[in-house]
Amino acid sequence: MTKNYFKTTVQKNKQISDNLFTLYLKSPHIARESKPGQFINIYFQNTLKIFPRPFSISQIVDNQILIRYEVIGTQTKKMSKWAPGREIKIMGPLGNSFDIPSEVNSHILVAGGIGIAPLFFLRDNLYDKGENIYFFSGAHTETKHYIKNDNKSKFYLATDDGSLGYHGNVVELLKENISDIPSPSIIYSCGPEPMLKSLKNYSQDQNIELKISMEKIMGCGQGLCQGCAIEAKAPEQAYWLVCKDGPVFNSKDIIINV
Amino acid sequence: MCDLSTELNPKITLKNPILTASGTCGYGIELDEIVDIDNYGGIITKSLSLNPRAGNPPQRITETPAGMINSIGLANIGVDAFLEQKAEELKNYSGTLIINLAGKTKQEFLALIDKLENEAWIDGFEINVSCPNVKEGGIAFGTDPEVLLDLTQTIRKATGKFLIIKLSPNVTDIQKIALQAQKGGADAISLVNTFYGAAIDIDTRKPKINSVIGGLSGPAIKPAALAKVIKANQVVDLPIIGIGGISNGADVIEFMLAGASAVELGTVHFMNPTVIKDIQKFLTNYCKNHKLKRLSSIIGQAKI
Repeated sequence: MTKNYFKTTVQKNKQISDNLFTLYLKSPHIARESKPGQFINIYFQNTLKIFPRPFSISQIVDNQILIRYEVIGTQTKKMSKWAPGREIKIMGPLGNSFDIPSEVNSHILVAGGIGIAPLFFLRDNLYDKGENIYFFSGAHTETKHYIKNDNKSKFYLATDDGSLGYHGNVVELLKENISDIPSPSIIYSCGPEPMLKSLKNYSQDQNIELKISMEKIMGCGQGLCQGCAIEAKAPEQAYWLVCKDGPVFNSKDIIINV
Repeated sequence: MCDLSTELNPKITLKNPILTASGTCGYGIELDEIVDIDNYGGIITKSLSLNPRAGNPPQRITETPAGMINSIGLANIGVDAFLEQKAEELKNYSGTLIINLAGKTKQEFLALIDKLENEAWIDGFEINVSCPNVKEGGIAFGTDPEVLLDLTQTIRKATGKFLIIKLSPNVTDIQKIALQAQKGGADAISLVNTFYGAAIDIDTRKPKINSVIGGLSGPAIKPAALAKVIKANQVVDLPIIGIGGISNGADVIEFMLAGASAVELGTVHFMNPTVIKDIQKFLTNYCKNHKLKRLSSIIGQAKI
């Protein structure tokens, strides 16, 4: 049995803009085994900040996994300094994945900020299946966007400050374009909770199924510590664990408190 | 080759002094996906209660300097589901298997033991009288010496299995509490459970965990936990199982020198899931460097 915790090597750590990076890690095991929506834990061998940090598997390229991350705190700051050849410990693949239903005409991807990370992997998967992909990406400003265009999807771009693309939030951009998207459709999303909440309300009004990749502070990442609970909306189930029951949930099964 | 085994009593000898601490490793078998659980001297399961518990509302954990605060609230599947779902796999486990029990009342503890006492694959019980995160039971049993004595005596009468009382550090006099556990007929005491801890977000001004105050664990508490072990060791004759921020082989040695016959690893599993392998290597080297035939010969040998 392959144990899920091992050493890997940094292949590349590419700076996209001021705070956005893409880390390339060599891992034939994860490249082979993982599905869109799953994540890995990165370990920092640090006794001051003890938790590993969970990151979505953003894309698979050959035997490498790509981690797209924004520098926010001290651990991501450290990551941004990692040079090719550096060995790090990771665990994965962890968590569940995005189910792709076969009976829909359109697949709508909605990203908020760095929440775009897991959606690249999903887009690639949908593209390989020859599906129709509508990719909405929103961020505060131009430099917070990983990509400006995309040849695998019909791509829509929003910025809160109007510096690039649609001036406004990504949910509003989706609403303005929904009439052009052949139904039935399904929405997959990842991003900040206020955005997810507004998307959840909208998808319910429109009766469109919505799959959300959630984020929560995690201890173990494997369902052992029970730390990453979120409130469930399900019979006989008070809470879900984001790491094990998720990170992908049907929006109907969860309560988003913001 | 050094002998790492440690005898807790004539019934229980651990093949090495390392146990998993309740709540950090599930029911033990789940850890097997990461590291062979045969590497441990034994497994202590997460707390089992009579009925399933959903646990506390989020946020349940937060990282703090060299540690974490948790308020999980003893989320677990309950004893019946445990027997249905986990027993088969656990029966094959070759090490020592200790079930951690959490009851809201004395009657609940007795009902739990009644369901588990005849399961031959269970080697012992660790009684959680020190959980800071539940309203009933938990720490209330562990801070009042008279209540603890009565509970220990009652459980002692109900079980012939190895009986560990897990103590809270949140008491004024750990010696008094440890003596009560001994008087009540415990076979061993384990200490410490988590310290009370809190953290506040300075921007939102909200507590970082839902219950405001939770249980602090991790390297940050190691010196405080070690002090409790030294104190307890001054008064009890029972074997002591040391717990609290143990993160590497040197920490294990330190606790053993302070008087612990064995130790439990908890929070360290989040930092280093295969820490058991590193510790085994360290202990073997330590024996070699210090010319020890048996690691257990250092128990309580700190020059205090």
